[in-house]
Amino acid sequence: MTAKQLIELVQQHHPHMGETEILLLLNQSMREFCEDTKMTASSNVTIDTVSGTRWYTLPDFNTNTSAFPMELISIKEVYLDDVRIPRLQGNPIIEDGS
Amino acid sequence: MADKKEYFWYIDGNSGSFKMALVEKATSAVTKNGWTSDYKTIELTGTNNLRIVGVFSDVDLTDPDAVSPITKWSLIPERFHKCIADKVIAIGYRDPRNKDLQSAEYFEAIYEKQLKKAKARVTNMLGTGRIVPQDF
Repeated sequence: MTAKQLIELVQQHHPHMGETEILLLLNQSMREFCEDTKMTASSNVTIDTVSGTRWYTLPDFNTNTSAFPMELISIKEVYLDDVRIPRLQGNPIIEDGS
Repeated sequence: MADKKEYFWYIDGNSGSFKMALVEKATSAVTKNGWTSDYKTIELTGTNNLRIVGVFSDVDLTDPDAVSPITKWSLIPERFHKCIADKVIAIGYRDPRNKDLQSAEYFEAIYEKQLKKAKARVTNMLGTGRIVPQDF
């Protein structure tokens, strides 16, 4: 269904609601639906690594202006140079903040 | 034969933004104040060499009258689109401007029913099954 159809559907019940408000609620409900069902596709994002740098900010998936206008719900796997790397249980005792 | 390096990742951050840390296993390589750690910062430079495979929500719909609008959810199957609208209708009926709790409950129930079906669909497609006891 298109956004227009969905808006019309809601407005049949709530004619006082504007398009902006309905879109906001539709997107909010869609995210809840995706979180609850995990009914979403797996997707890849890639980041450059720099020697001596430990921390990498994950891209801002969460805005329509970004190249990736989706919200990250969970991380399934991480690959470094095409080799899958595991998640560390706990954090290292020494953190140099690099 | 090249050395087999063991890399690990972990996450930190707040609900708004997350950071991912990459470390390499190196026995007793880092020492500070008498403490030693088996993990040091990676020494690897590369372009697009860190690949994160994740579960993502669908894209947000935008104003249909905008210049290049996103008019449709592409990842959520079409049959579940209406139930998301039902959820919004339920929210609308809880709004003081149009309060009707009975109708809100009705549409919430429709949504929950479809949510259950969607979860079952994902489990059927991607689930690993369950072990059922068997008498011999």
